[in-house]
Amino acid sequence: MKGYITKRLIYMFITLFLIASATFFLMKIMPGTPLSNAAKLTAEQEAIILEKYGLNDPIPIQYVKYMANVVTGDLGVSFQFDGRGVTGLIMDRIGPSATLGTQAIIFGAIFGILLGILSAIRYNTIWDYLATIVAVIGISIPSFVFAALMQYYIGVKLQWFPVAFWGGWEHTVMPTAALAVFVVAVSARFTRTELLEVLGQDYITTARAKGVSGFSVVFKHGIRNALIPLITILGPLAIGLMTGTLVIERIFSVPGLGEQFVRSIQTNDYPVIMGTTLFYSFFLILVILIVDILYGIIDPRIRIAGGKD
Amino acid sequence: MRKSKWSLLLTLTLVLSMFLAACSGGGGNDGESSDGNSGNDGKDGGNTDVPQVLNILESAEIPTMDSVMGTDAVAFQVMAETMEGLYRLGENMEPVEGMAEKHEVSEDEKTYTFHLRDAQWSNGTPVTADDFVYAWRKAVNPDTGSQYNFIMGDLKNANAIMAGDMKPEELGVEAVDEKTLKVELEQPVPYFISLTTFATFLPQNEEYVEGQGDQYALEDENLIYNGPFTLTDWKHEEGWVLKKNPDYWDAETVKLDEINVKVVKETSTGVNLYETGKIDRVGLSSEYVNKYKEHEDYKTFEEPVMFYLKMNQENEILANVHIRKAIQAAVNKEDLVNVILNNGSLAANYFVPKGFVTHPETGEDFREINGDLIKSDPEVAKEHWEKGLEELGKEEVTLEILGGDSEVAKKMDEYLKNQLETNLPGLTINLKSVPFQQRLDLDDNMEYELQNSGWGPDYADAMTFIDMWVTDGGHNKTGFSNEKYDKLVKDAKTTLTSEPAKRFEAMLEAEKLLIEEEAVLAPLYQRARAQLWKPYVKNVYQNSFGPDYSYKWAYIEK
Repeated sequence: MKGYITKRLIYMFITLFLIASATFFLMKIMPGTPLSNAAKLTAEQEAIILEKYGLNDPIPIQYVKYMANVVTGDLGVSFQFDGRGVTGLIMDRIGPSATLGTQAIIFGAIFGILLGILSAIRYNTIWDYLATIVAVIGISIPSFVFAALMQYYIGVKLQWFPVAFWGGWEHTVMPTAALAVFVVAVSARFTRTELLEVLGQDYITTARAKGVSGFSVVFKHGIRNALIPLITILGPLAIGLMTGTLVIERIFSVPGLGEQFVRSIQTNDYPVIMGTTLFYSFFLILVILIVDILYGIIDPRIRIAGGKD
Repeated sequence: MRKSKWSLLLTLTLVLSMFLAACSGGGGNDGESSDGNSGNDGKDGGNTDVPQVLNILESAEIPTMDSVMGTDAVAFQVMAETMEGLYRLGENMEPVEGMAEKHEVSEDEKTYTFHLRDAQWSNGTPVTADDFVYAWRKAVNPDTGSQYNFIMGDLKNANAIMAGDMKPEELGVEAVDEKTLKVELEQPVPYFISLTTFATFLPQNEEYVEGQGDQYALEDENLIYNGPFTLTDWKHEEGWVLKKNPDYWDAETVKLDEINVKVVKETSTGVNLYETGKIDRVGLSSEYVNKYKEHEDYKTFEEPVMFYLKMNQENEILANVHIRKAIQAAVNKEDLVNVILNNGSLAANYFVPKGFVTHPETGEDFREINGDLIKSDPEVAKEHWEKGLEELGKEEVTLEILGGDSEVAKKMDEYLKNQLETNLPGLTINLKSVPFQQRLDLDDNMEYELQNSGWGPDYADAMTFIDMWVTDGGHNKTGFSNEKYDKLVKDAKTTLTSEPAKRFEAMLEAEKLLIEEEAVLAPLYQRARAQLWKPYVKNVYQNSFGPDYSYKWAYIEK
């Protein structure tokens, strides 16, 4: 197991290096400059300022300089926010995004799983159909539609929760709910399908034959096996949610990372683009690794490299 | 072992569902109580003094608070409220006293001597002439990387310093003594006083700035202020609070105690906040105008920002003046502003915007004197078009419009295509939408045929619209070159500077030449902003250059 993890960690850094390199060159192909006042500057004035930031150097030289800095942990300084370090920018913005993402994943998965269990044990009844409808709506309607509807009806009309802004927990309720809808739908569908399959297995029949109660069969024997595939999708989904979701953050004016990332691309803010990409990739790879390890713990059948240990 | 883990998860699930149930219950209560509070606020307001608090939105985070680095509306706005230069923009955009009490101008109008008042920074240090010298030198120093320092180009030696050919110390600004600042210009600049209100000309205290090092201006506590308000509670991407500065020299004029600013990027969110009474002003995009057009809070403000089709004369078809005149006349601009933009924007048959500058003697608006220089008329368009095609020996031509990639920009370009193709037989228009940054690159390299472009002023003088079209001007990029035009601009900048009326007339003539005779551009519209304002907000001045608003004199009256 140790050897396996070491190997995976080495791969992880190689992957990160490749991602960084690819992003760097792709980013440099993007037209335009990172200068915020380019519309008012003449070509000569622009050249003087670009010189100051080392952006007139040939791209391979810029690449080597950048990578050397990254290795020492220096992600550089933002262009759009004069003088602000990229690491600080990401750390400032990740808080709200992570809070919303975590809440959405936790509440979404719990409700989704419960809904999925309900559909599976009440298979082909009105409960199953209702749960299916909820799931289909959740998957097919984008979260910003829910966000906009909630903002208007719950925020403006009923005034139960604040319309926007970031502050106490009450500000997180509507964005969390908007983000969780998709998670609910996905986990409900997965749980239902998997649980139905598991409940059809021989060992479940055996359990029932032994006289184990219906509740016990589902919760003790069924769910554990049914949830394994769900872990595969929830990991990356969680990272997607926790690192920020542009539209929801815009609608509820949440100072998160998603909005920040998109704007850095629009404004050619090279250091922020690179920093955020690396940050995001790092977590994604890390979570995939954790999921793979968890797999082995949850399901002995998939214990990786078990033979070697 | 396994069993216990499993039951742990179940317990966790249960606890979390309870927590969620508690949340939604709490939410309901909270809603009720906040309703009650707002009711009380209303009553209190009627009986006693109204709290002098203004709640507004900005569309973005403050990109920088280092005054020499500012380039955008958000930064300019906060800087204007928290800091003060030699002069400040007052009502009707008149420069009013700031750090300078008065000034003298030399005989040749190239030397200004400013006398500073006794004022202090928020850390107690007095504001001195050295603070201006320090900040201005910093701005023109190429190592600083300022992107707006070209606005200082009229200061003696400024351009040479910015190009790296001279030292920042050689800039034409000098502290004669603590309270006297002497400024030398390359040539007389009739609007220099209004220029000194601009953010790039704000002072900075050397000792403080150097003491902060690379932390300067990054947070509200890494700054000192000398303006009507101080910046506090600056939470990046969330908002900030402007608090009345008790040490401001004119603090008794300032009535607002607090301006709460929140960052909101979605118009729909802003409108919802306005509807719930959380904010006192909201900007409307065109899709919201129909809903609120009849609302009593609805207001529009015409900005001096012009949009037009740039025509590249290096293209053989567009090199023909009749073709250009045909394009000028072929578009129905009334429909463009009323249907597509729908926010109070004005159909423009001119280039120097309405309500921007007035004749120095008669006080008449530039626009009233020159009036409409062209008109939209399909007949006229067709006439010029046929003449142009005949001269070119062509029957069919294809042109491309380069435009922005926003929804409104695309809709507008579709409309232009339709209008031009309908009214100019034999013309085919292709559309190309690109992101803003890319359009600037293509413009720089003159890789376009027709371009939907815009320009806003940098200072309060028609020259900011006129001088960009001189031969090889940095922003000309149309290939337009006209000796008479160049001479008019040169005269206005040199020989006529001491004769404001004649100078103004030279610019009037230049505009006619640009639009009416040479048809360099096809003007489309002058932009307006449509907004909702709570009626109790009084005395906020709207500006057409520099900061969008002046809050120094604003107050709340319920």
